[in-house]
Amino acid sequence: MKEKTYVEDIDRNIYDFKYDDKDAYKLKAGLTPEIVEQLSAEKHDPEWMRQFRLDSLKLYNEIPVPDWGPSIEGLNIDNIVTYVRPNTNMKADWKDVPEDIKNTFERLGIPQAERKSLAGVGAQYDSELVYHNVREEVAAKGVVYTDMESALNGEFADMVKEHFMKLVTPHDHKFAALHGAVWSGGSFVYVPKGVKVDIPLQSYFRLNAAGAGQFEHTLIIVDEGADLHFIEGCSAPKYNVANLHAGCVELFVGKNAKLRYSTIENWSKNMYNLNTKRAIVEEGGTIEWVSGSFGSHVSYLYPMSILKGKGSRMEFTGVTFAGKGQNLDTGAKVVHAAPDTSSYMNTRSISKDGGISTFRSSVVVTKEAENSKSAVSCQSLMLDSISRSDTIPAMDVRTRKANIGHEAQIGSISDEAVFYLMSRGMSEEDARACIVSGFADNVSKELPLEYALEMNNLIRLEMKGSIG
Amino acid sequence: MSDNQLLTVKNLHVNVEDKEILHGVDLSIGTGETHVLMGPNGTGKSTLGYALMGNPRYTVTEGEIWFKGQNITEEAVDFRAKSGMFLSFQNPLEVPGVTLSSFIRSALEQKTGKRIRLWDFKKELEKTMELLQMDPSYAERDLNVGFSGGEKKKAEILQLLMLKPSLAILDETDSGLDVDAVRTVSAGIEAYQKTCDGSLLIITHSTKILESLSVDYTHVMVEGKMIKTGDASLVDEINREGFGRYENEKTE
Amino acid sequence: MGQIEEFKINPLPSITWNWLRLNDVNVKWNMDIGPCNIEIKEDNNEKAKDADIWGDIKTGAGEAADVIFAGENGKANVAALSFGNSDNAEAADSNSGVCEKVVHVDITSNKTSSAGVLKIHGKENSSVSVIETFGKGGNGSIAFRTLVQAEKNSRVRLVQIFLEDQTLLNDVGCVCEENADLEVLQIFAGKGNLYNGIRTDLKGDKAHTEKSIGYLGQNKQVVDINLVVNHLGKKTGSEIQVDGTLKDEAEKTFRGTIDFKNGSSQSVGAETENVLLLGDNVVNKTIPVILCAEEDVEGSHGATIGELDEETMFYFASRGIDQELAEDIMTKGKMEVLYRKINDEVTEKLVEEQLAEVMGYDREEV
Repeated sequence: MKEKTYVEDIDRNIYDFKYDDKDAYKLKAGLTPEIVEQLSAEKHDPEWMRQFRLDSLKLYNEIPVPDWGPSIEGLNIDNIVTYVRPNTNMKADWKDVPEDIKNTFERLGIPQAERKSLAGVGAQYDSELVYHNVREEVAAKGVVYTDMESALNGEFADMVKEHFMKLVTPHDHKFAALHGAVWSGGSFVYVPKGVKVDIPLQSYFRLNAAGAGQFEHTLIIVDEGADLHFIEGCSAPKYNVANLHAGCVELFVGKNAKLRYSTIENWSKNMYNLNTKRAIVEEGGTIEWVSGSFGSHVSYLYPMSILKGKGSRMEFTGVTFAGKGQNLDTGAKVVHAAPDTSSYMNTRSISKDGGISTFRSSVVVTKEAENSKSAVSCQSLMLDSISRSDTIPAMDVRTRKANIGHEAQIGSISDEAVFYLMSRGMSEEDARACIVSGFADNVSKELPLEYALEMNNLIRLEMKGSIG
Repeated sequence: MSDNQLLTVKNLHVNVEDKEILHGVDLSIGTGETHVLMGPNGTGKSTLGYALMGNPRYTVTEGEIWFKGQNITEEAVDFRAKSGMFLSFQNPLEVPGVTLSSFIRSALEQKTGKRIRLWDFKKELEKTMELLQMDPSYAERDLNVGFSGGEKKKAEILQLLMLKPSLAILDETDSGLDVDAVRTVSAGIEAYQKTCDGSLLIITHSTKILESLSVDYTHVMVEGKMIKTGDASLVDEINREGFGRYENEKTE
Repeated sequence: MGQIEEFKINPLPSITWNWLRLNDVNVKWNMDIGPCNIEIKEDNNEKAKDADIWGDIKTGAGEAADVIFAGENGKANVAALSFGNSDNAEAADSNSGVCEKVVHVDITSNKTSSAGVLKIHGKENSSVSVIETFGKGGNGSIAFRTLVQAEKNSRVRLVQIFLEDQTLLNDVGCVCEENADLEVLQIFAGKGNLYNGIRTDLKGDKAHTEKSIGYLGQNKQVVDINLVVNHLGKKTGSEIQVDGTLKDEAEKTFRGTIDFKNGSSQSVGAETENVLLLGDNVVNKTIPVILCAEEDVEGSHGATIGELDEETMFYFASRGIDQELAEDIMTKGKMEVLYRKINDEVTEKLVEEQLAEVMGYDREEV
């Protein structure tokens, strides 16, 4: 037997700090029509939205929990507080954000990143955005980046109504219905025709309150020929009670437009992350997903792309790292519904310390999707024999004029590679961390530098169990 | 143009994935003539071969290809083959489960449109394989599966001799072969010249294979254009001096 | 007409989204079952095995199908083959390539719905090849279950040739003990539907299995395959190769699972699937699953699905062969690679004839 050093749960203290909730308003835990009504009133919803929430709640009660995937038995929705409003209104200057909240984001490096490399930032604390700002020159091009609530009642109300939960409907699954009932916060982005946003926009979601749920809604519309990179980050301190994240992301990519959606998810390990993301792509458009899943106790996450327009394409690049106590079920879905469409998935997953990672995917090629191409490649790394790694990719092809490829590999770190690095003077621990970072470079290569560094740092933390 | 004319290429422009590789090529090949196409690597020689045969990846954007008095620029690959054009591949396809013998028989039957008596076919195949010094057991082996580079080249020449086309385009048939194999392949090509009164377009960047063949015309292609056409002596000149001169001319 | 019952069989060991309809398959079965004909052509002198070694063997179609084979009345025809120790040590040498003992078994239907079970017991150090042929014609659907117990150091080869015109439910369950080697070769060239479940438990250390499956689906045929290999012992190995062609409106589902159980260290499992799509209305579903609870293993999977690629078409066309003939040649070639492996001239001939018939080509050699 090889000698292995097992590492206890990692010290995540750069994410683990928490503040008392001095929230101004908090709904009672649980889920009833009364609670949903209260929430709707509190948020000054238009009437259609109030009704939408109530209808969604009905669906939520009707739809069963999934019979596949990781267990969510530890999650009792009656114990989840669906709405926690922080003690502030949304600000456009960090100076105006209350001290403890500002400190939170300072420690996460958000204002610094904004100054350096972002076109705009939204920061959500529990259920509402506390900060929102977009660079003048970007706003001048007509780019709209605002919180969902403002969008719902402002100039873009009709556009929001036209698109809101049309792509991910509350009928989709139980947690999409839950989202429809209790969503709050999130961002609305509109990039007008032909506008190319050179540097990324970012939203950061922080869940501070114990036993709470975060249900932000992200709606992005990239119009014809436009180009955008959107980055999403999430974290939370760890509590002993379950937290729930059931966000929803809807992306509309116009003709010949391009959207890259990057996520570094690092929820605390008491989080149930039941998130739904979906994009619909028009003729000649491109959606690119870059996804790093590191946190959460349980994750169900499979961004879906509907290639509706001729020649549209999707790329999905993902890495999932499941450590102790984590059951991360991640992957992607694509539907080729038009000719000449292409999809490309490239994923890596790592399992360690009893963690379970599952790669789950589906590639559907309809009869209309002639001359479509799809290539799926997934690789898994097992770091010990108390962990699990499963690969469950499905393909459904209904046209002969398709070219569909799939490859999967599973294995462990090669002893030769460790030996080689150690022969160059590296410790075994460093050598293994180095190999795992290299294994995940499909994702880090796709991220802006600061995020790639953050991700590699996360991997190092997971591998070493201490900060440098 | 004389009655003797088999292939005429006029001002041929060819794109591969939106990039133009051939920038207006002219070429005429008469019945029974042997032409050699030389030029440095990556200059578009193979592209010309593929375009003549009609590979769909190679798009003709301008110009025409006439074969046996017919404009075939828009015709499908199998039409060109049935009309008597043949291209030997640098890396021919491997087909598990289909023997070399049954593949050639299928191709012959498609060409002639009638069933071929197995006994006659086997006889001729054996004789031809002997000429090419191929082990007769290869007839019953799967097409190109597990064949060495030399065996694959011989299998291509075997098809040439069995299918008896009017024009054979040989794409780097000599590359990667040892001296003996080159000699055998040359003998096969010679047999084709004689028995079929066949025309040849031999694409090569070396001259080994030409030693025993009688060459009528030599063309030099540089960067997608025919730079020079001459007789057999041009082969010897290039043999001595290389392409440097022509490449320099191009840049001036 | 007997009573029709509906079952969910061929369950995927790790289920996924229900909307994909891949987790299992619904079959309707006539429960007025009688015994099918099982004709064992060669003598088998060994004494039939103990009854209790068969109970534990699980099959690919799953427990839901048990009722067809056992039922309360036990209407299925049950036969058994047992192969003992060879005196000739040489014959058991797995490198020899030819199994010592070859047994042909012909299986045909007897009435509208018939069923049978064949138990194959490869005793320690034995070496055997069983060729099951599901014949053409017949007058009803067949459900057939083959159970294989491959003892230590045994070598068992199971060849299944499906030529039937009606629906066949083929259900296989195998257990391989230490160093046992099981080869399964299946060729489907029938005109009916095929529901095919095969499960193999590589229980002993160094147990090994090779699976080769070839199918041709045409018209409105349904081919539904559930293949499961469980790696339990250390240093176990599996190689799975599935090659098929779909034409017209044929519909195929392939579930292939390699499951590395905890403790199966140093095991290797590889699976490849190639599907040639030649019909405008075909449906091809594939779910190649790798489950892994052991660090020191190597698992891999590869699949290619689509029509003939451009380069292949170009080569054929450059020899004057049009698309239709090129597709026929490739389809036949894929099958031929497999049926050559049968290593039994009579059976090979049978498959070749059947292919000529279903593909409608003239195999007369003038």
